[in-house]
Amino acid sequence: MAWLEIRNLRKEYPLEKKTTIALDDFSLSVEKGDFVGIVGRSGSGKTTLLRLLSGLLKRTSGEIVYRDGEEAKIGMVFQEPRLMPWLTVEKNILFAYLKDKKKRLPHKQSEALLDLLGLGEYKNAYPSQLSGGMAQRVALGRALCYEPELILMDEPLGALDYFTRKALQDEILKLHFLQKKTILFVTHDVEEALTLSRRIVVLEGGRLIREIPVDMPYPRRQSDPKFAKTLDLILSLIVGG
Amino acid sequence: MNTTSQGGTSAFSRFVRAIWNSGILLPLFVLLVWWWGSKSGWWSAFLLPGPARVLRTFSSLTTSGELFTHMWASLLRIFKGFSASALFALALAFASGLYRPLLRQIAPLLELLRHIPPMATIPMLILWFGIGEASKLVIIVMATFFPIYLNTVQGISQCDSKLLEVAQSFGYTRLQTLRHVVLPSALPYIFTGMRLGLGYSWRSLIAAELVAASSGLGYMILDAEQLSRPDVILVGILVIGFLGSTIDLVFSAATRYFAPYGSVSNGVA
Repeated sequence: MAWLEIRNLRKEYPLEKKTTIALDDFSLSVEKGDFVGIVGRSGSGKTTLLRLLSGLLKRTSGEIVYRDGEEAKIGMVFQEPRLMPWLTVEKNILFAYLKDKKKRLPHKQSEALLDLLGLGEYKNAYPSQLSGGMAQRVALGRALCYEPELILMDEPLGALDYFTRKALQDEILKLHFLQKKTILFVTHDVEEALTLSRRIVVLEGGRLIREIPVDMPYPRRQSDPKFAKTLDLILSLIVGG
Repeated sequence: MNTTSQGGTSAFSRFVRAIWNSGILLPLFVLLVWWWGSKSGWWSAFLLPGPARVLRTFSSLTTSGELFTHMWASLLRIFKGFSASALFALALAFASGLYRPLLRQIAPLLELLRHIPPMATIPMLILWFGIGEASKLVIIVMATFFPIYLNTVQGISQCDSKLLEVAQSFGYTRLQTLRHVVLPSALPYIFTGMRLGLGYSWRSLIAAELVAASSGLGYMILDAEQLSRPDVILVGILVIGFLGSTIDLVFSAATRYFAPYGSVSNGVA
């Protein structure tokens, strides 16, 4: 059994008198330390999958099972940073711990993350004083500070400009290698999925239509013929539906 | 030489700009017209006594301690009425903001009550609470309740659902979410509601002190009306304005300190 087993997951939404199926019979095995890219068109069920895994949505049927039998600690990074405007950068990173007054805040950990993400100087700044890229770094730091076993990223770089996006892609990879985090990464951008993921899952109409291993060394170059070939394959799957 | 002259010019222009931006010019102009008009006999001194006479009256009321007695009585009433109103409004706002069925039940009744001027209820209040302090406090509570309640409900309902999801994703309970997300998010609205409420409490003071009062700024004004002392009336009016704006300044500073991340320019009243 893999570390995480998703079995026959299904999510239905009531829509007026009809029922819309957002995710249907979705199964996937994920090992610890894996980096799975999830691609597909809008409405293909990518975000629903992450929201079901994070517990933000209740599944209609199916199973989410972890090998050790316990629920995994999950950190989620959303498309927008979703920072608390009343908290400083450091307090936002420590947000997961603020709920419990009795526990001491892991300041050492937050300091290390601030340095790792290049936010040391902005520790006492408020979200309104940050650029989009910096705010998303804080959101990433917030998820990491929680020390999650699984990180769910829902198009975290979707709203950023090209250069910030590239810089953050490098940082996500750095974190993946340094901290050996298991990541499920939803993106619209197939090239981004190919640059980052060890495996790519293609969704269409709420169903998994193909799982593609990405057998290329990091850092990946778009000029690599294998990159172009895999990109063509995924695009044809999505466009062909 | 040039440097000094440039420095002097720029210091002067900074001074002029500071005066212009301070907003003091219009009050000074009004004061000047008031003084000049009184001195030149543009209107009867009985209808509007001049600033010098008002200042003399202020001085004598202060020296005798009479003004402080009335100020203290009014401030105590405002404090008691406003505190009771704020506690009640905040508790009801949080209960109804977080539990929608309650809001649906109380909304029509509150909407009806909101449009009733507190002064209109004075005869009934005297019947129910007598002519003591209770009826005066109820008038202040009625005047201040709605701005606090409505702004707090709005603050709670406008809490970004995306931030609530973040808390949920980190395993926050409902109570923890309320404490760490909903409350800070609603705080600028709460402060705005309290500022508006406090303004309304001063407005309702005269109405409250109409009810058989023997002290208070409202009483002092009404008593001066009976005695045909417009100078005392003006002192009372100006002291209410001064106290109201001083307390408002304190509230503004508190808002900037406790909720520097958000401001609500126009509250709901």
